[in-house]
Amino acid sequence: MATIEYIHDIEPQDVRLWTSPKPSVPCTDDVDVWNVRPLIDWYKQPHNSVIKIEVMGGGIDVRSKFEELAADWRKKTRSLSSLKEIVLNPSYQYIIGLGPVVIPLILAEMSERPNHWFMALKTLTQGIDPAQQATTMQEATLAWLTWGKEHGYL
Amino acid sequence: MSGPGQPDVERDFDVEEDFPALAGGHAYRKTSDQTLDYNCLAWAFGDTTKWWDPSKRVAGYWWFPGVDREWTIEAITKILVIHSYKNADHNEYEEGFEKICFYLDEDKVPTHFARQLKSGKWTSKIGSLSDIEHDTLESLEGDLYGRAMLTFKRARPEWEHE
Repeated sequence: MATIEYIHDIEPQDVRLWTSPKPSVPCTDDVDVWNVRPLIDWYKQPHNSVIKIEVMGGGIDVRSKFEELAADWRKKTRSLSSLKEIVLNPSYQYIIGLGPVVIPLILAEMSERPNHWFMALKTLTQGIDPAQQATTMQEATLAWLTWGKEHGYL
Repeated sequence: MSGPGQPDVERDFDVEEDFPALAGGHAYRKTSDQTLDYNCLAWAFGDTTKWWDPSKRVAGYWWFPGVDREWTIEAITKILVIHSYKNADHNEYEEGFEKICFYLDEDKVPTHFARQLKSGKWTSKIGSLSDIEHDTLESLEGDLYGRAMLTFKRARPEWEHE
C-alpha cells in the first residue's frame, strides 16, 4: 500500500510526486504533477505490487520557505521596472522550482499584496493564462484571483 | 505633474533603503503612494495606468504599438522619437525643454528613466514603490540603476516665460 504524505496545508491535487514504477495515468515525464486520486486508484489495482510514492519537498515547510523567498524577492526587486529582471531573481525562480504546490500560496499572497506573479503562475499551471486579455496589472491580478477562486485555490 | 492621489507622508523608507543618497529624506520628496499600476517608463511619459514592458509571454503589461518588443536603448529610443524627443548633449536644465534620462547598467541595458520637471528637478517612479521628485540624477545612481548616461529632450514652449 502506498504511503502518501501531504505537504502541510496543500490539497492532494497539488502534491508533486515521485513514483516508481511510472503509473499508467496521463503524465508527461517521470517527474510531474499528477492528480493524486486517480493515482491511488491505479495503485490499488492487484497488478501493482511495487509502489513508491514520495512527496517532493518532503522535510521542508513549503509555506515557510515560500514566505521567506517571497519576502526576499519583494525586497530585492521592488525598485526594478524590467519584468525580465524581476522574474529572473533567484528567489522567484526558486519559488517556481517548488512546483504547483505553491499556486495557492502565490494566489493568497497576490490577494493581499498584488505583485508580478503572473509569470510564475503561468509557468506553474503549464501555460494557463486567465489574464490573456489584460493590459493592466489590476486587470491581470483580478483575472488570476477569479481563476483561483473558480478552481478552489482561494 | 504628480502621481495619482496625495501621499500620506513625503518620505518612502523603502526608497531610502535602496538609494542611500536619499536617506534621511535628503534631496527628494515622495509624490505618490506606492503602486504597482505603472513603472518608471510609463511615468516618464506621464502614464499612470499601465506597466510598460515588452514581455510577450505573459499578460498584464503594455508595450508601445509598432515598437520592437525589447527592453533596449534602441526600442525605447523609438518611443521617445515618436513623442518628439531628440538626443540631448547634456542633462543640465534648459529653459523651454523637457528631458528624459536613461540610467544604464554596465552592459548598457536600461534600468530606469527619469523625467525633468519645469523646476529643473527630476521625477522618477521607483519600480513598484512610489514616485519621487529628486534634486539630482546622481542620487539614484549605484548598484541598482547604474549610471544616468543618456538624455533626450523635446521642446516645451509653454514652459518659457511662464
